[in-house]
Order: sequence, then structure tokens, then C-alpha cells
Amino acid sequence: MNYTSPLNVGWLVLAGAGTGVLGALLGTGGGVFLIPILVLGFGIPIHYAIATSIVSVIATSSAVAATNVGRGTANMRLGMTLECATTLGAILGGIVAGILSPRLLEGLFALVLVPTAFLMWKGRIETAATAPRQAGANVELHSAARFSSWSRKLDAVIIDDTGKPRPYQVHRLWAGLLVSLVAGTFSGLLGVGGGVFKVPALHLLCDVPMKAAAATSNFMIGVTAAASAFLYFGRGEVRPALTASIVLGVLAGSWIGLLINQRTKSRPLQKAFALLLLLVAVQMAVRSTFGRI
Amino acid sequence: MKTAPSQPRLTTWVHWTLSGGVALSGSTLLAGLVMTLATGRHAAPGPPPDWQSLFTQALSGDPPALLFIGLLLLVGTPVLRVFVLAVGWFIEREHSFAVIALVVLALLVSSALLG
Repeated sequence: MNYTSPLNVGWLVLAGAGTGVLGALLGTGGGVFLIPILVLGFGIPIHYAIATSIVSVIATSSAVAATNVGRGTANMRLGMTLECATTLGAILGGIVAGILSPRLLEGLFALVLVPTAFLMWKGRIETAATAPRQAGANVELHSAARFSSWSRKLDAVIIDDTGKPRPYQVHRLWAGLLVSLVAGTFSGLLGVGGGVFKVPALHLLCDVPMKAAAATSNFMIGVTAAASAFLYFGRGEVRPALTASIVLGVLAGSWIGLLINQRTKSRPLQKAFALLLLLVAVQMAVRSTFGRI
Repeated sequence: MKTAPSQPRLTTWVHWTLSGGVALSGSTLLAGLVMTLATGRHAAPGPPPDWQSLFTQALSGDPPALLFIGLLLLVGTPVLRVFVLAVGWFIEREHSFAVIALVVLALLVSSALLG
């Protein structure tokens, strides 16, 4: 494919814009959409597609995180703590990328996504039921301040859908670190942002509110992707015209997605995310079972 | 800009680091892509050359060099954000988080050296 022809550049920019919108709405880097589009839609070799996706998720993350940090939605302390795990995983994933079979990894990816989607859907249903427990946790915040455990340093406040400040506590940090390590590894291996793992884990395991989980995940994705991007640059798999076209589209799409996201409440976001996980799981399972199309 | 009650200065720094990095890299990429469309020049296969060669080629009007600079600026943006947070937390005497940021920075530098 000639990446420098005006027609192809136009289509690539549009593809980037579409994934940018989705990434901003769902708290992911959009790589789960971009790689199939590039490989199946444009016939671009998978290793170039992964490298392009890695760089484009940095664009999405940086653009969205700049806004989320300004709004105070992203929990920077929690994000930086988890970045130790995601960065390490991304480097390992980037190195191992050329050793393990992509089909094996895609199958594993699909297997992990199915129960995650189920838990995400269940979490949406239980939101109302768990509300009293969350209110109780808020009351306990001041008394909990005397505890100097690491998790308490990560507690934060988010402005909820009604415009009121809502304090929250971070629980089970070890689970967040473990999932972040896996997410970082998959990010380095497959060129996805890893938000599909981190957002549900932060919400369901660490009790971080959905919007804060999505914003914090997005905050981390840029650093995670940068860790493996250097390896892809070194192998010559980042094609400048191709990647620039996608990145510029992604930046425009992220901006549009943020405008839409301001009108989106957490519950529909959860529901959409659960369905997204199922769709990606089916896609990955088909590719793993029947091979590359 | 509405900020969270805690650490408003640090969030402002991070906000402008990310916004500035995206704006600078985006502008460079846009200029490079326009020049690419105008000239139709492809990048040679393989990794980008060193920074000195990249700047020399970009100044001589080489579109792929300009694109590589834009992409590396983009990849460098979250790395700079980690550095900014390390400095910010150190200034605010949150040494444990400053150390965490330095660990992440060390991992990123290691990856850059491996690549």
C-alpha cells in the first residue's frame, strides 16, 4: 500500500478519527478497533499495524488525559503507582512479541475478555444496590485518614454526575497492580491500550468510580504505550506517513469523543463497555481459531 | 479550567505538559504530512536515524524526517509528563510518589536504550 497517496491518507485519517472517538468515549486507546481496521480494511502488515496502534494510543491518551487531569477526573497518584506495573509489562510484552504465537495470545485475550465482560455487566446491575455501601465508605474517609497504608494515600475525590464531590477509597491495590502488569504486557504484545483490562479491574476490584477508572486508565495508557513504542521504533516498524495519518485522525476523533463523553453518564458507559468487550472477544476468538483472514 | 481540590498546581503542570506535547507533535506531523503529500517522498525502511541526522534532514525539507520528529515528540510527551510529576511531587514533599515516578522514568529510559 502506498501510504503517501492523497486518497489513502484521507481514508487513514478517517479511520484514525473513528478510533479516536471510541477511545475517548470508552477510556481505551482504541487499538482494539484500529488494528483490525488496518489489517483487514487496508491490508497493512500486522507488525506495522501494531506499531501504528501503539503510537496512536499515545495520542489518544495524551489528548484525553490532558482534559481529564484538568477536570480532576484522573487519579494521578493511583495512575503513577500502577504505571510501574504497566510499564514493566509493556517492555516485557514488546520484547516477547516476536517469540510467542500471536494466535495463542489472541485466544488468551478472548478467554480473559468474556468473564470480564460478564463482571462488568453485573457491576452495572449492582450499582444501585452498592450505593449505600459507597456512601458509608465516604463517611469513613476522615477516620480512615489516620491509617498510613499506601492505599489510603491513593484516595481521591471525583465530581459525580450530579455535580457533587464524591470521595472514594482505593481497595485491593495488589489486584490493580497485577491486572496492570497483564494489561501492560498485552499492550506491548498486541498494540492495544490495555484499558479493556484496567478499567473493569479498577472499578470492580479496586472500587474506583467508573469515570475515575476510565480517566485514570487513559492517563496510564500513554506511558504504557511509550514504553513499548521505543522497541517498535528500534525495529523499524513505525512507518512515518502511515502513523502520522492515523495519529492526526485520532487526535481529531479524541476531541469529538470528549465532547460526546461530557454528555454520557457512567451507567450507559459501563453497559457499552461490557458489550464492547464481548464483541472484541468474539473477534479475537475467531481470529485465533481460524487464523488470520 | 475546573480542577480537583487537591494538587491544583500539579494538575495544571500535567495538563499543560500533555496539551503542549500534543499540540507541538500534532503541528509537526501535520506539516510533515502536507509536505509528504506535496512531494510524495517515502521514508526508507528501517528505524529512524539519530536526532542530529533527523534535524539536518528536516531542515533540508525532508518530509519523512519531519514526520519522525513529530512521532518521537508524541512518544516523548508521556515521558515528559512522568518527569514533571516526579519534580512536582518532590517539590510538594511527597517523596514516596516522586520515587515511584522516578522508577517509571527509569523503566522508560531502559526501553529507549533497548530500542
